Parts: sequence; C-alpha cells; structure tokens
Amino acid sequence: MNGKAEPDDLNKLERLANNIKKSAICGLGQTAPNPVLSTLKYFREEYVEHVSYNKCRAGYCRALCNLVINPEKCRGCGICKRNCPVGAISGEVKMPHEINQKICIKCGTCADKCPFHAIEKQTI
Amino acid sequence: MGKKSIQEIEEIRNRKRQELELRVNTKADTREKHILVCHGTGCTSSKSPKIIENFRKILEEKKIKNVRVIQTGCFGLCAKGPIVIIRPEDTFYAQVKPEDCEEIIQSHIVEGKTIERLLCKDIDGTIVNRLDELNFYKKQKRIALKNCGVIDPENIDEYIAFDGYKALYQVLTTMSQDEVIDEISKSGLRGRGGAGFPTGKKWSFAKQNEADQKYVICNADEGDPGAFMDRSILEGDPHSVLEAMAIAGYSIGATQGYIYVRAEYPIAVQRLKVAIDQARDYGLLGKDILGTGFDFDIDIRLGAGAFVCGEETALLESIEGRRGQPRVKPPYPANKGLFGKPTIINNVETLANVTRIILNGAEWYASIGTEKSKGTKVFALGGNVNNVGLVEVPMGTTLREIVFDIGGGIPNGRKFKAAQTGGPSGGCIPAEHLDTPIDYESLTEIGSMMGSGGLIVMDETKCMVDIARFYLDFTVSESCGKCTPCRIGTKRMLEILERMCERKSRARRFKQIRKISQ
Ligand SMILES: Cc1cc2nc3c(=O)[nH]c(=O)nc-3n(C[C@H](O)[C@H](O)[C@H](O)COP(=O)(O)O)c2cc1C
Ligand code: SF4
Ligand code: SF4
Repeated sequence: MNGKAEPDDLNKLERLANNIKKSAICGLGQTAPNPVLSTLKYFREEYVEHVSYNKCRAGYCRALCNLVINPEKCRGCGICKRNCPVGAISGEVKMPHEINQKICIKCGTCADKCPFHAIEKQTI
Repeated sequence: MGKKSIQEIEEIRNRKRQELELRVNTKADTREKHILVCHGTGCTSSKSPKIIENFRKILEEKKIKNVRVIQTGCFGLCAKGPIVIIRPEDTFYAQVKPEDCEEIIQSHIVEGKTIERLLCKDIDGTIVNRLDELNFYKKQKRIALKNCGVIDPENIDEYIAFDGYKALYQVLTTMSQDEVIDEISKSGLRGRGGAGFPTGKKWSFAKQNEADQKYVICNADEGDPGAFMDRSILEGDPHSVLEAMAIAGYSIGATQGYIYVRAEYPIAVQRLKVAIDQARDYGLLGKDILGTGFDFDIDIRLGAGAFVCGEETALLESIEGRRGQPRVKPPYPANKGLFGKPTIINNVETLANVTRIILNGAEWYASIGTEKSKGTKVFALGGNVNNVGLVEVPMGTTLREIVFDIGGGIPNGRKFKAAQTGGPSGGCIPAEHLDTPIDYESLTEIGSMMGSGGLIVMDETKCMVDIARFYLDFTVSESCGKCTPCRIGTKRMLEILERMCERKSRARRFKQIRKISQ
C-alpha cells in the first residue's frame, strides 16, 4: 500500500462531517458535508478503492490511473517525450510513442502538451 | 403613459389579449406572424441578439409589414439554442445562426415553406415541427414558467394581456390580509429556495408582528453552481415576481420591497429595472396602487457576489451595508429582519407561483404534487444528459422521468451513474433510487436535498470521490469563516479528499507551503 491517503481517512471524514453538520451556524456549514456523506453512503467502495488500492474505477483521477498513448491517435511528433520531466517516454519519430509506467510520475504534462490529444487516462 | 385606472388596465388587457391570441393558439384568426427569439442568457451568449437584429433588418428591407420580431425569455431547451419560434403555426427552429435569418424570412414567411434543415430533431431522431411535440415538453407542467417564452418581458402590456396584475387587484379589492395568507397556506406552497418552509406560515408570522415598518425581500441571489431557474424567471417574466411581492406586502402590511439580485446576472437586472419603471409608470407600484389606497414600492439591491449572501440573514446584513455574514437564529427575520423590522424573504420561484395561486385558487394548486409538497418545481437540468435545459415538473415526478423521458437519457451510449440535486448542500442519488418520486421529504430521506433546483446528471466516467471533492472545494472557498466548524472543518475534509484523489505527495505539499511563504 503506497497511497498517500491513510486507511483511517474514511472514519475521520465521517466524523468531521457529522460534527460540522451539528455545530455550524448557518445552512452553508450545516449542509456542506452532504455531498460527501451521500457519496460515502452510496459509493463507498469507490472511496475504499481510492484509499486502499490506488484505483479510480471511473478513470477520472489522474494520479490513480495510468497515462497511456493511444497508438491510433499518436503521430510520433515527440513533443511529449521532450516535455516529460522524468524521461518516461520513448519512441521513434513518426512512430507511436510509449510511456514507461514504472518511470511515469503521472504529472500529466505530456497529456497537456500533446497536440493530438493522444494521451489518455486508463483505469489501473 | 402615466398612471392607469383599473378600467384602463382592463382595456389594455382585452385589446392586447386579442392581439396576442396567436402566441397561445395555433388556430388564431390573424394575418400577423410573430417571430419569437429567445433572449435569455443561454441563447444570448450564442448570438440571439444578432438574430433579432438581422430579422428586423431583413423585414424592413423587404418591407414586410405584418410580421413582428419579439424577444422572449427562456423556452427551456437550452441545449438546442438559439431557438426561434414562429407563431401562430408554432414552428420550432433550433440552433439558428444569424446567417439563417434571410432563409427563414424568404422561405418560411414569404413562400410559406418550412425549412426542414432547421427543424429540431428529437432524441429518437424524429423531426419535430412544434415545440410541444418534443418529448422534452410532454411531462412538463408550466406554472412558474407559464409566461417564459410567451411574452416579451420588457413589455408590461404583454404581461397584463395574460392576466397580469389581475391577482393584485383582486387581492386589494376583495380579500382581507388574513384571507390572502389563508389562501397561500391552503395551497400548500413551500419555499423553493431550498428549505421548503411553508410560505403561508412565514407570511402569517410576519403579519402577527406589529411594527411601524415591515419589508418584503425577494431572494434572487442564486449562487448554486449549475442553477439558473431564478435567472430564467426574472429574464422571462419579471412582472410576476413584482406582482407577487406587492401581494405579499399587502398581506403582511409592508410598504417596501427589495429584490436582492446577483450582480452577475446583467440581463435579469436590466429586465427588472425596466419592469419596475413600467409598473411605477402605470401606478401598479408606488403610492395608492390602482386607487385602493395601498402603497408599495420595490427597489433593487445588487448582490455582493458571495454564495453565503443567499442565506437569508447574511442577505439582510448585506442589504444593511455590512459584510454578508449569517446571524444566529432566532430571532427569525419574520420577527426581527431588515433594520430590525419584521421581514419576509422569499425565493424568486416561490413568488412566481403566488399570482397563479390567487387566480386559480388554492384547491387547484393543492391538487398538483404529492401529499406534503404541492405544485411544481423548476429544475436546471445539466451534466451528462441529452436535453440540457430548464424543466418544470409536478412534485412527485420521478428522477427517471426527468433524466430519461424529459432529459432524453445519457449521451454517447454511456450509463447513468448518479444525479446530484441541491448543489453544494445536496447529495448524489444513485441508480437504485431513480424511481423515487421527487419531493422535499423523499430527497432528504435518501440523503440529498431539494435545494434550489440544480440537477446534474453524471455518467460512469465521473468519479464520485472527485465529485464530493468538487462541491467541498466550493463550500470551502465560500465559507464566510464566522464559525469554526465550517471554516476549519470543511477545509480538513477537503484535504482528506484531495489526498485520496491526487495521492498528494509530501513534496507537493512542501511546494505549496513554499509558494505561500514567498
Ligand atoms: C448558503 C446558503 C445560500 C442560499 N442561497 C439562496 C439563494 O441563492 N436563493 C434563495 O432563494 N435562497 C437561498 N438560500 C435559502 C435562504 O436562506 C432562504 O431560506 C430562502 O430565501 C427563503 O425563501 P423561500 O422560503 O421562498 O424558499 C440559501 C441558504 C443558504 C444556507
Ligand atoms: S462559517 Fe460557515 S456555517 Fe458558519 S456562518 Fe459562515 S458560512 Fe455559515
Ligand atoms: S505528443 Fe502526442 S502525438 Fe506527439 S509523440 Fe507524444 S503522444 Fe504522440
């Protein structure tokens, strides 16, 4: 388990939420925890996956997904390779490039720079 | 122009009503045609003012006399905007561009040929000629939005034509203060601003409190991300809110009203200004309204731009010229409100229902909806749904009907994951509760809230942890900071969620700290 969130976080979250609901002065504070409590109630397994398995099943949270290059969209321009701060990308000019998942730190720079939107998030 | 007697108002009503028959009756006996163009915020941002201008120019060039171009409020189907409707035949053109005006005039108006290309396609692919043939409209019931998209909001005569200011006259001449409050109580109307407090009860509290001055406030601060119900009502039918405020003023004994409206709604503010001026000019606001001896006037106050200013006591602080921070309740505004005087604060949509209740009777209104939630609710439908727009449905309609029948389902063949109601104070409703009839109680029971009416649909590509993070991020930045649990507690919660979504590393946190301390 190498996630940065701790397993106790879910309990902490719930405890905080219930306390705020009870003690805030106005409706804003009293209702602020609702989005958290309702998702915790109906989608708890997603929270557990985030905390314990570093997984985002929707493929939305970048840090919990693999960034992969779609070979059909990649034109091999090399922009991503030049911009990757840890040198995780390799590939020949005009050939589909590839990201080495062991090196990738999921900063998302490549996805931002790719002019062809070829870099996609993929659930682990 | 100038002050009008009730006879003169009735004359305007009769004359205008005949003239406008073609707006509501496809068989109207008329040689005129009206081209209605949506001039709400949505369509305006996709060039509807240019479309209006083009139509007017072309009509003038071609010297066509019996066709009028009217700017209206929102028709509701914002996803297909800009929308142009031609009446009396009620032809519905979607996603019209300024360049299309020439063809519409030449082909539709001059040659009488419908332009297939611009007709709207329903979700199932069928081409629709008329607005009410769309599935989007079939399950809707328009009460608060009755005039939106029908009348020109900047023309008081058009409002009068459709029973405008009739309820006010009826109230002032035939009903006692208590009778008005009774009628509203019997209708079962509850506050549409979020909490669902019975409106009649609120008014009766304010009436019972003796004071030399009382106030009526319309809350038009609408700060929920994704919500635009109140804006659409103000943009499409501002007089209905003014009239309801005057009725409320009479029933509690107030002579002054304020509309607290978001400064971020320039079109709504402008329409309100025009409407107030016109109503004053006709003597429908001001001293001795319609010769009944009742005085009531309304002024606009611009919002201070914070979400919390929509909370009623923070709103009072803001109008009084202080920083918008909530007060501890009690005392409630009905006892000690604006400048310490008894005050009622009602939401725009709540007020928009009032005149309809007076005119059609409390029984009629109470016959719509569920046991504890009467009437209709307007929702701003958004997110991953085909028909993004404004919908008004009877209370008790299920979420499934709203998302799939009215909303046309989820685009790109994806699956429904959750619906978020009530904005930052509400919650996410999963597929297993799609068949819950929506009202105040049922939504609270399943952990969400009616809220003001934002309804955001999410498909399977949305991460629920991230959604929670998004809303919490909003509340953290909008918390006024007056009390500790909200100021610090929500921030701590947000940090935990961010940790989950971003695996926020130590290094990044150090970077943040460095940035702050520089
Ligand atoms: C943080 C916060 C924001 C609010 N924002 C609004 C708003 O924008 N518009 C509104 O009508 N009510 C808003 N309310 C609810 C008001 O406090 C109040 O309940 C409402 O205006 C009463 O009118 P009603 O009885 O007609 O619903 C908000 C409440 C809270 C706690
Ligand atoms: S700190 Fe939060 S709960 Fe407290 S008054 Fe301000 S907005 Fe309301
Ligand atoms: S920037 Fe995009 S197109 Fe260019 S090599 Fe990288 S992935 Fe391929």
